[in-house]
Amino acid sequence: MMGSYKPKIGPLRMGGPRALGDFAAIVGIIAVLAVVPFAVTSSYLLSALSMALLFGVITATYDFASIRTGYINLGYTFIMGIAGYVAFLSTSSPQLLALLAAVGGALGGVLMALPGFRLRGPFYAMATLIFPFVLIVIARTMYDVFKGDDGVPVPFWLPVGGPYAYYLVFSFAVVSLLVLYVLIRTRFGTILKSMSEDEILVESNGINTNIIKLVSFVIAGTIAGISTFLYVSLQGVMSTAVIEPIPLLIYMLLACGIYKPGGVVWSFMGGIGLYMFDIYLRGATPELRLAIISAMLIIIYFLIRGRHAAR
Amino acid sequence: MLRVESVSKRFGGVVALDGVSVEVDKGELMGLIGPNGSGKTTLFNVVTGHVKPDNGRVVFDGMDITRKPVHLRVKIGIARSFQQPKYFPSLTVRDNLRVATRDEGLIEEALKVVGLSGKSSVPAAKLTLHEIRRLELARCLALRPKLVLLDEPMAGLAMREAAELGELIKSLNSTMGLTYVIVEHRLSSLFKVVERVVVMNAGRKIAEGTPEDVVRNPLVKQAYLGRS
Repeated sequence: MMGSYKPKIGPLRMGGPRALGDFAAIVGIIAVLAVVPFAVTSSYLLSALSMALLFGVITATYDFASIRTGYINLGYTFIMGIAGYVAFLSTSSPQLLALLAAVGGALGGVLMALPGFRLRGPFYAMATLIFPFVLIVIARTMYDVFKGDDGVPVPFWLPVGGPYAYYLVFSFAVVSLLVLYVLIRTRFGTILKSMSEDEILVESNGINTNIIKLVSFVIAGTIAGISTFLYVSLQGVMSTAVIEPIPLLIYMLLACGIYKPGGVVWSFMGGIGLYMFDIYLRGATPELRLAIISAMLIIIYFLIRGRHAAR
Repeated sequence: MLRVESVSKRFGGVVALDGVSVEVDKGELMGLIGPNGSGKTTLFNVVTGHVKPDNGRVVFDGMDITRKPVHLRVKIGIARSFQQPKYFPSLTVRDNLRVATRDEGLIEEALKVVGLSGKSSVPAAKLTLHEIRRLELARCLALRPKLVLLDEPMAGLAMREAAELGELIKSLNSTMGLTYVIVEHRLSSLFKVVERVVVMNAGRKIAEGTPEDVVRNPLVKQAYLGRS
């Protein structure tokens, strides 16, 4: 039994009723989303659903890198900001834009992982909260480059509201969700989950936890970067609104905490649902929105508290 | 195999280790005893890299590992268990070992050796303390160690369970040639397992020898009973 330990991702494991339940949920949601353009004729609704799908993917990446590892990150929109600005300030070619957004997202992921080398728990969460606000200040201060709250105009290449754009987004969302789902079923996914329970023990198993954090945030950042590229393309402008942590982060936290935190599938669906709910809320008064978001924060508090109390 | 040379560690005003030197030979079963707060677990932490010493060196297999991080020390063959049992409660027994290795055959073998094969799909949260201690041992084995440090492996176990665990450790030592250092307060159980004992008190090594020798040592009696 002697020899050297080789850290690898390990084989995919599909087993147990819980895993089958998740897989059935994935198949179900993909089937429903695949036929949406046949049932929904409104181009506005189709466009809103496309954006909700992308938000679902971003939420799933957050669930994968942040919630699954126990490194609750309050500045995740920073990744979206870096990806968006790196892409749209560099080129107008759609293929290059996607690549640059992926690279930007990965870079954002690296920067988000770095505080986790030294900080944990609430200290890490508070440190990451600074990131998006710094980026917002830069975007506003260097108006000539970033165009502040007005935003950088995005080249028109995607026919917004049509089935073509929807199916492009849908295909990307399905592939992203499957990649994340497969990853959490591997040994790498087991290590991510074990980190949220006892990081000292993970290190005592011969694993460099800093590398694990870095890799998980790079994977999440890359997917979130491409999602941001599509999201901003649909929106038509890359502005500070994409980076504002509130209310997007509240929705992400809530979506991840509703059921099976770190499981990717339910956070994806929760993200879609909450984004659509946000669109519905845009017609409400600011007071009502404040009340609803406050209620969500209270729910998040109890979800997180319950999770930690169970340990 | 392991050489700890004049290691000192302070936590604020508390001297946890004061120039401690210990050697462990390959294939040895060594006990490390001493009253509470004598520095046993701190010495373990220094060897495994969880605590960096203020002074002194840790040499393993001829290599100075004093500044190496925890995960690299595991890779060169140092595995440990913890005073408060550490495991991943939400993972199954098998997944607990999957964090340690990707070798399914090795996992199977480790579970079989400690008698947990029948519980491989059970969430670790449902194990008894006796089974958790065995899971910790299985995790150590799955790391393909050369040296295993066990911190109070018999704590909280019934007499029969402690004796069984002791027998298991002895058999692993003889069949696989594993080297063990065991911290334990249950001296009667420990002395049935180990060949040599190092005694610590107030951060210093005060005695060393066979179990029979150390129980007769006046300094050891004084450390435990307050008189010689």
